[in-house]
Amino acid sequence: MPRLFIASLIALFTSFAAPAHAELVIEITRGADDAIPVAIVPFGGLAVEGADNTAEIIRADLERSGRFKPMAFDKLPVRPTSGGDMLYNEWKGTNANYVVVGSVRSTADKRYEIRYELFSVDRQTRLLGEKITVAADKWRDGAHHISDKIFEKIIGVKGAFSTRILYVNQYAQSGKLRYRLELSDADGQRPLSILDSSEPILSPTWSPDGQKVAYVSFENKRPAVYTQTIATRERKKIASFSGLNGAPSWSPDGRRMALTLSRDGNPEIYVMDMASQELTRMTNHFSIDTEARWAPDGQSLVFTSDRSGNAQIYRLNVADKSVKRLTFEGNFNARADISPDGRYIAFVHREKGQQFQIAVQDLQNNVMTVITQTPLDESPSFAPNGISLVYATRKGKYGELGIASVDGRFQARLPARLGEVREPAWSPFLK
Amino acid sequence: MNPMIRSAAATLAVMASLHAVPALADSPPKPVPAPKTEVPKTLPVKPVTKPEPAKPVTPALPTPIIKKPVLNTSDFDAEMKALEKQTRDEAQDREQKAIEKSMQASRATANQAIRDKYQSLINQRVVPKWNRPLSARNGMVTTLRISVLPGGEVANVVTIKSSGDSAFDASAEEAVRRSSPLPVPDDVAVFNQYFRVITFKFNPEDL
Repeated sequence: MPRLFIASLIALFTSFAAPAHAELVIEITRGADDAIPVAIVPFGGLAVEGADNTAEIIRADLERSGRFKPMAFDKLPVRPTSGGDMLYNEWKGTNANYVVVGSVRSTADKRYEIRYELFSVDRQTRLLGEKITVAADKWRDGAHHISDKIFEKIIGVKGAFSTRILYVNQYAQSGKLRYRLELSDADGQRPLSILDSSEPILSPTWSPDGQKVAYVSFENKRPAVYTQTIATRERKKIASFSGLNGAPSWSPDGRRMALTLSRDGNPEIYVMDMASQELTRMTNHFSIDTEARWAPDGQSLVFTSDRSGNAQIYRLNVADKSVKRLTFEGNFNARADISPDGRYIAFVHREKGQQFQIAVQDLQNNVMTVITQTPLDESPSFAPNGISLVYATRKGKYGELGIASVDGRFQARLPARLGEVREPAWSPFLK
Repeated sequence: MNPMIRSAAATLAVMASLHAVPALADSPPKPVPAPKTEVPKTLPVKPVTKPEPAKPVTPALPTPIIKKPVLNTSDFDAEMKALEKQTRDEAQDREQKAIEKSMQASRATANQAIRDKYQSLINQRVVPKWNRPLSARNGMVTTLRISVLPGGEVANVVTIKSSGDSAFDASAEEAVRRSSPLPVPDDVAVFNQYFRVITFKFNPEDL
């Protein structure tokens, strides 16, 4: 009996001294989230005009997103152009986590056929492989499409490289200032003018389907709000009331337009029903209320008001017209845009004695972060995937569009234009 | 008489050893007083010296022991010595075992310290390699089981629990693969015990 007791005691002891082979569990609760090293190998195939730049366009797209760090072409250890030539070991010595290879050839009907493949060096697997055919004048679209696919596969969020940016370019011609409304690719390339005027153009904005734009034009010497269909250039004047007509913003369902009108006295926010042209007044305050933007759920608008004594951002509940102040830091906060997920607002911010910079505020915790360092930054507009925003900035006599990641960790510049570039608006995803 | 004493002493020794096991450090002192206290009790001579049978039995005990050898046979004396030696040997044996056991225990503790150190080193190596997709959210969990070769090379990665987000799962696997070779202990025993197979739980809390 006692022996048995001892035995069990010893057993107990042993189990304490040497625990069973419990498997080691390592919990990772943080990450670095650095830009991901990626190698884009110059595409092979026929060196058709322009098409040999496909890899360069993809490289620039991914780099501009701030999420990728593409290798310089001259650092590539090898240059495979198809999966058949891909040897993972050749990439082990580089820091590239992913490799993109591809080729371009022109088809009998003078189109381009682009093949590309994406490989994970770490997992030694092919993640993407696709063949696309594009019209000869659309090869840039083909490259942006590839960037979108790569981005989404690795980053888990839809790429916004096939989108466009709308902006106003103010330029001088024969000593006179002129204004044009332009559209460019999201990389600033292929600018296209859809309106050219001797009078100012302001506040351009997109329809939610990306087919139309709205803006304020002074072409009749006083402000009026127009809509314009991009494909046909067809225009429609929707607001030319007495006084100010400004700051159009389409509702997410495309049926209503928020506007700033001063027809009843001082500038107030109105919502126009696009079908009936009927107006609903949303604010009623003796101070200036302007620059309304719809929240993605269509339930509220953010707008700028100086009702506190200086410009600040407020949120207006569309249903009951109640107003809540959102910004409290700095003595100037204006021109807000809301991120596509509704979580952030970006706006022009100024601290006392400082210059105008772009700030982003997280509406979940109301933490505000200044994300640009250049003076006179204006008009932030979120990319449709919400990861970055475009804003206007200035460099001498050149106007530039800047791209910044929402966390401010990354900034890029789009090609400069002579004159000023103002009020950029990033398009929604385009079909 | 002798067999009786012997069996009584043996029982006592067993009892003593019984006590000794759970309390490793206390074991040596206990068996020594045990036979001394009990042995006199079996001797019939005791009451003669002191007629008072009341309480002070215990303080009186040492005295009779010294006197008795003179009166009795050396046979008994030898028996006692043998017993004492045996008891002592057993105690020494137990002590030896206890030392071995405590050495084992301290070795286990040392191994655990090594394990904890490398566990944290691995964590430190993987964190900066983890570039999470924008689809990552707090609360997502991907669990991977990794087999590791001596030297730390990651031989195999199996996703045993998916987060439901393929980009998130992929980022976790790539973080581990990119961290290869993992920092692992040189000590083969420790490596085999803890590091041949490692479970990684990717569970962001800072997003």
